[in-house]
Amino acid sequence: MNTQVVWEILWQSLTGGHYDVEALRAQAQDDSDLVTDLGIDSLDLVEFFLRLEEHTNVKLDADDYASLTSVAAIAKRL
Amino acid sequence: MSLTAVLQVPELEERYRKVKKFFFLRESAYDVTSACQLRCDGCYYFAGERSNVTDDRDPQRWRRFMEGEKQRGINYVNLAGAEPALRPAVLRACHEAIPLGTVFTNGLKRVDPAIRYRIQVSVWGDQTGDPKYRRYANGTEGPYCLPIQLENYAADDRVMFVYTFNSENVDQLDEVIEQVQGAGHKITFNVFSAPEGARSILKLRDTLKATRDKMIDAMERYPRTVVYSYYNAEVHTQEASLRGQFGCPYPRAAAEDRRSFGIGRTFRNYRADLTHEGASCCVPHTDCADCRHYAAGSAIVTSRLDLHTESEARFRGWLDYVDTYLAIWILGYEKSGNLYRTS
Repeated sequence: MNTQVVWEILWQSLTGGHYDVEALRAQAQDDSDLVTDLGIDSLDLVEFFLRLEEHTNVKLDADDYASLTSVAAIAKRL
Repeated sequence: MSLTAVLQVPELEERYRKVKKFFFLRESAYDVTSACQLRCDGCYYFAGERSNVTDDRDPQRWRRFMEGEKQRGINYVNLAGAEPALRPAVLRACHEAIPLGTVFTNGLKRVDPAIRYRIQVSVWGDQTGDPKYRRYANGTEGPYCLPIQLENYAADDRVMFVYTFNSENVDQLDEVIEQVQGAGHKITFNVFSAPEGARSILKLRDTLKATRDKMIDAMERYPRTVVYSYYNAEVHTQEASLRGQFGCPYPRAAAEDRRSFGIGRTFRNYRADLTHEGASCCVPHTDCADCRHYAAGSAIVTSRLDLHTESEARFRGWLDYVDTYLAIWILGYEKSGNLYRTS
């Protein structure tokens, strides 16, 4: 899956939360750790994963979440 | 269904936006002291080895420790014990470092009003039950705590009373709730969850349905006093434990399941000497197969947004559950009306 599409779904998921999305956009890299580098909270990540499932029609098991640590990893998985 | 589909419903989208603002909460738990005036039947603190510590009582060390927790990303503290109100200087030090949190207390000693944490006051029964379940440390029958709690916390907006249902006290709620309502306070519910290896008579056996019915009756008769939802009542009174229904994200279960996400990565439960075990959960030594803890549910149910977008009804229940948990845990957060109703 294209990383640009993954990023757009992520930014959509973070809207309405407490994030400075523009600041995150400026610093984010494909291999940035979503939690430790970008500070994304786990429930926002769950929303993000649910939106990815909708977009790709690929079901992600909750057991998969721990390994989906970066946009690069997600794009590869999907 | 999908998340996008359920969010097409305007009232659900609005409630989701309300609770989503609090997704930033990242918590851990801290035993403030091993001292307590009471020895309550089924108390988690005095089960196992947690109480076998030498307390760190130095408020400056606690302040530095909490600053370290903040660096680790913790922004919400659960201060318990035995009885944290017995260490006011430590509570002040914690509050100066991390101002969001809860103190879990038996309410027999008032927490300094300047400490603007949520104060969750435990209630175990009415005037017949409470002294029976809550003995003094020397083994003699304890006090009926509620009148003392109400006096200590008169007109105190920090307080949330927590009534723990057990196998014997379902109908004792009636007397308690009248007094809590009369004092202008709010109350929520917990369900007794047995410690590992315990054979406590308090463990719910045949009283799950009666407990659920009582919870719902109380919600409907005292809507401005009871902070709860139909979905809370359902999930906390199932035959299956919370872990059995939803899995469990705490480190203790995550280590067994070999997956670590969310609270499984960051949650720690510290003893009163500021050490911690690797595999923690919110109430250590609980038998996972019996866990219906309200505190555990705040993470277990909330974290399973994925399971709750399967239908609009389930998503409504999840929204109510999260709204309820935030009202219990966040001072100043007001619960909205329930979106889900038991059929």
